[in-house]
Amino acid sequence: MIKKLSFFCFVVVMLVLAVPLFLYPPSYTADGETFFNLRCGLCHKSKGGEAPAFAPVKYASSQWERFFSKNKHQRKKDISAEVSPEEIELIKQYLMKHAADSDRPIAAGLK
Amino acid sequence: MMKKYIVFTLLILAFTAVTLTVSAEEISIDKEVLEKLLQGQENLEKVLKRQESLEDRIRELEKQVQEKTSAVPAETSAQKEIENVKDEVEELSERLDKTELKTILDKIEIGGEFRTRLDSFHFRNVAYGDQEKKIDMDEFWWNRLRLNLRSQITDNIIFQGRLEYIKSWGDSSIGEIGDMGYGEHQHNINAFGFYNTGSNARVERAYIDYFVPDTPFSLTFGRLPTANGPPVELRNNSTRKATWPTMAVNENFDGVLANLSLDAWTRLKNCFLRFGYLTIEQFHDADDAAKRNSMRIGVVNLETEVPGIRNSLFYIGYTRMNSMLSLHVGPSYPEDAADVDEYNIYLQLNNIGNTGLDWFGAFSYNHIDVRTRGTVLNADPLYEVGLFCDSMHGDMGENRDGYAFYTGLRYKLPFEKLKNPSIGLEYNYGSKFWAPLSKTQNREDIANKIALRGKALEFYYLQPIYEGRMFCRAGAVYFDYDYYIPYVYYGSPLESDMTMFSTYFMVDVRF
Repeated sequence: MIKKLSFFCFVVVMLVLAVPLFLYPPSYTADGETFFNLRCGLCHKSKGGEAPAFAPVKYASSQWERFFSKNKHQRKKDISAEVSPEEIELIKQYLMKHAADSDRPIAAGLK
Repeated sequence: MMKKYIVFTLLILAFTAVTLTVSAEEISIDKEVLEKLLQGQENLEKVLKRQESLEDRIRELEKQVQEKTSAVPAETSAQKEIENVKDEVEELSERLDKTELKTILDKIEIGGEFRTRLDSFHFRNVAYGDQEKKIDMDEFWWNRLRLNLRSQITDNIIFQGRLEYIKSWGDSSIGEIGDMGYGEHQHNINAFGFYNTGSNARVERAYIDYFVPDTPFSLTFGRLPTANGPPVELRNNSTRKATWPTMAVNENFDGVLANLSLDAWTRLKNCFLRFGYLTIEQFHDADDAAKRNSMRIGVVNLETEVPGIRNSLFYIGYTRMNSMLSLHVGPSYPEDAADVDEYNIYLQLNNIGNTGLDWFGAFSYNHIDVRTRGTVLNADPLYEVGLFCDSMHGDMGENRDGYAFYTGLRYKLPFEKLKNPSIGLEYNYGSKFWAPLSKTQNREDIANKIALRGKALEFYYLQPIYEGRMFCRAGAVYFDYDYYIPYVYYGSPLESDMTMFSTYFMVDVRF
């Protein structure tokens, strides 16, 4: 009886927890990574790019924070016409979240 | 009278004439003066104009002089500024050299994790001979420290390691429940036990990743990152920390892995084909000892991010365990106990549609090719035991098939003021002959549900305190044992109606 009850409770709770999926259906809106690839990747390419390719681990999160607060990109190129402030904010969050001092995934063969 | 009048008139006329004459002379004089004056005025105007012109010229010259004279100190100031900047750059360069030197000499990055945990557990219907009893422990405190090491030796060579220390408070032990006298193997079998390193730290992993330049190929060798893989990171509020899902392999293994990144060929993200060769035990042959076969494991697996679903993981793998160890006791034992084939499939979807919902599901199946000859136990009467079989139950040498599944979800609550805490629910089931490789689950939880032959249900609440650095988790686990195994992996599984209810609270800090 307890076994059936525990399984029943499990199913019920799983369904309850799945409610947000129906209330807030997946929007699949673009996030920081998307904008990073789309906007930054336009110029920053490993081959044939206007600027060298880079990854979020290039800097620590505090260095990314400083990079954006001081608008350092402006010194090399003004991108305000191509990238909106909202997109820049999302890109900044993405870079800081995956910065060199962030919690990096570990598995064999991952750099 | 008339004469006087005439004389008077003449006098007046004479006076008038004289006056007029004099006036005429005076007028003529004024004209000359006037002409001269006019001439002079013209000259004066010319002079004034000339003067103005000269003044303009002077001003212009003065201006030019001033400009020239003022330009000289400006240039001097700029030069001084440049000199200052040069000095500063020089000084910064010297300081940077020192910092760079220190960075180069600091070859290893060290990070850490520290955890303090309180467990409470309550067993019911525990078989002790013919009796059943209950066991309760309301408080069991323990600490875990992990020092994570990483060194980027060159662009293509990376070392990673981890030292681990797990210790109960006050050197207490719960071995009477978890160990049953068989050490850490028992954790794997009856799904409960505490792995205590005492005050020592052990090498949990130490390996090299070598990325062959300009190829998608890499080699990983050493004590591999094979413990506490997906989905453990969901409960630990972290990123993935091992190569294989816990249902496939969750133990510390030494070996070598060949990793082939297929991203460029398949256009899939994080797509790897891996081949692994691992060792559990190595034995030598000697004339004066019974031969024992070394136990080797081969693994081949493919993993990838599911196309169109970001942060997902799909894994499919095959594991071959050659020459599972026989029970090494008694008057006679075979060279090995069995060969095991295991198949695993795993899917994990993180932050589905940006809703904060994570889900995972795993299914594993194992086939055990049991040796017909087992270890003879020195009992009365003598009897043989093999992997999941024994002669007492008349099933010695029978092949075994087992399976298990494991599913769960974690939902990040949309309460920003509370730093988005998460709730999670997990359920797993292991069949009678389920033979997992999951010893290291006990480094995470005392209750090793992955190894259970029965059902386990867990609910937890995870509260971030400082995002990415500190969190606490509280949870409850319910175990329902269907089978209990008496001797490590050996002997026929016994039916059990034992249950265990456990609650825990832990605080985890990363640095």
